[in-house]
Amino acid sequence: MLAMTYRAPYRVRVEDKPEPRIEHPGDAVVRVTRAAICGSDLHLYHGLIADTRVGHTFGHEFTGVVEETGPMVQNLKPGDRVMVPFNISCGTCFYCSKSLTSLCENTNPNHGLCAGIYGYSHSFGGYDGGQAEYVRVPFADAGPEKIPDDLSDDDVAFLTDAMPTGYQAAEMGEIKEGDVVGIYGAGPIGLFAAKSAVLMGAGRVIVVDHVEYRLDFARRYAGAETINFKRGDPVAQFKKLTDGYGPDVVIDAVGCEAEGSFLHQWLGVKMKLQAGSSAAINWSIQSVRRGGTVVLIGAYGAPFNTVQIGAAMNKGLTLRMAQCSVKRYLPRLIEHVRAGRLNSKDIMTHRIPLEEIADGYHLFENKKDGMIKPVVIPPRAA
Amino acid sequence: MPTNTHRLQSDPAWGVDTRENRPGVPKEHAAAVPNPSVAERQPSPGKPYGRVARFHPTPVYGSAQPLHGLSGVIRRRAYDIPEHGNAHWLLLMLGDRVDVVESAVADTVRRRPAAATAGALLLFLGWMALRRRTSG
Repeated sequence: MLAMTYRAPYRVRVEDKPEPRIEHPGDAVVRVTRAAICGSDLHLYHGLIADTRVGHTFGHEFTGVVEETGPMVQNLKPGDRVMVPFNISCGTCFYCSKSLTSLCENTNPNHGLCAGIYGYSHSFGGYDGGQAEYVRVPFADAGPEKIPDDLSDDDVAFLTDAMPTGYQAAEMGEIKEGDVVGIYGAGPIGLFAAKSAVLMGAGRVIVVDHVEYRLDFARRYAGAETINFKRGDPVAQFKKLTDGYGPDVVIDAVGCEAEGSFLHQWLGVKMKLQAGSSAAINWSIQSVRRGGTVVLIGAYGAPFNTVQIGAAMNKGLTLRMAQCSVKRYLPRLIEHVRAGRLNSKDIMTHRIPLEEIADGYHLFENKKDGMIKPVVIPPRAA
Repeated sequence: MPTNTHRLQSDPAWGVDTRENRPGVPKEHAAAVPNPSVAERQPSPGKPYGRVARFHPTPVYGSAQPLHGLSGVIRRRAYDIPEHGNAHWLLLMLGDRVDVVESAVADTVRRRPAAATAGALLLFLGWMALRRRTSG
């Protein structure tokens, strides 16, 4: 089968790989119909995630059709259309039984940080991902969700990561009616977080970025106000917009490759002396009002980052952070998709054949061609 | 602090998700799904190297890209160190870089054997020349 494979930082290509097979009686093999490139895939692409092995196939955001099931799979059969949450979860462990599927203890043998994730290095379990024609799906009864007949693959393509992650970010902010919500990052997560904040009754949503076409998109898509941090200190701009207070809630939807700080770019991203840049975290801590809430939903990794924790402590902040436990959000998000309040197609700007995925990564990384969120189409998707 | 609720309220979806119908509130709630396959173990290719696997073997694991070569030695050593130690992660990053070099060499040998042979020969000749110079 054709599959995207990692060769080195900034180098990926499409290769012919053996098709996945059933390795555990709870497995299924899914033929991929849609696979997204996520902003967090860029951390793998840049070599920032430990234990990323040459030959690994990325892709944790995909939908498909069940081709084969293991002998203990009861809820799925060949031919079922499914969307597969990026967390690999068992459904029964201590964490899954509390609906915290991103923390499943039965799917990541290599680290105790969190559950296994498709196509996200051996630090997260070592499972090849969905930027391929076929993918192995462990615990097929617990994770995948059948796609309703009235929804297309395009409607739900981003329900496996980007949309629930943005939604959970807004939810962790505990937004009350009328709250001012600041969001660092106008990428897919930030955009869905902005729209979700509107669903939760925010009074104002202010989005920060430096890419003008993305800020323009945030204004049109979520009715957001915007700050371009290349035009001035975003913390100062937030204070100016909020009578000196700062927002009630600030969401970091950027993660470990944040721009804006020469020190953190060099220490973290270039020299890897810390786990990427903590610029967005520190801006979030400084921007939010005293007693407010900071949400970290952008991806960060090991080993450590320099964070202005003293400011957070003295300001009496609430810090909330997590990988999204996708499964619990799917029923509500499907309702939103059906009602037309949210849809993957809102931000799906590019459709790329799997054979051209290397070009897709290049465009996505450099934010060219007005790209917000690309979806990859394998040759046997239809 | 100025708010402008009116502006966002023009969105017909504004405020539909009150606290009561947000799926993640409360943060933890009972949601176990029966899954008898959890009791089964995926056949292991060898000694599990992840520290989690040693103390809490997981029923499933990713079998893609098994350890190999010098990068595999480094990674296996990394997994001997608890993950709260910085050396664990720094060794894994080192293993990644070594893996890239090993794989590039193997890739060149496989795809361009003539170029790989010529390159190896040039390296050997250069080493011989350096040896002759340093031995006087």
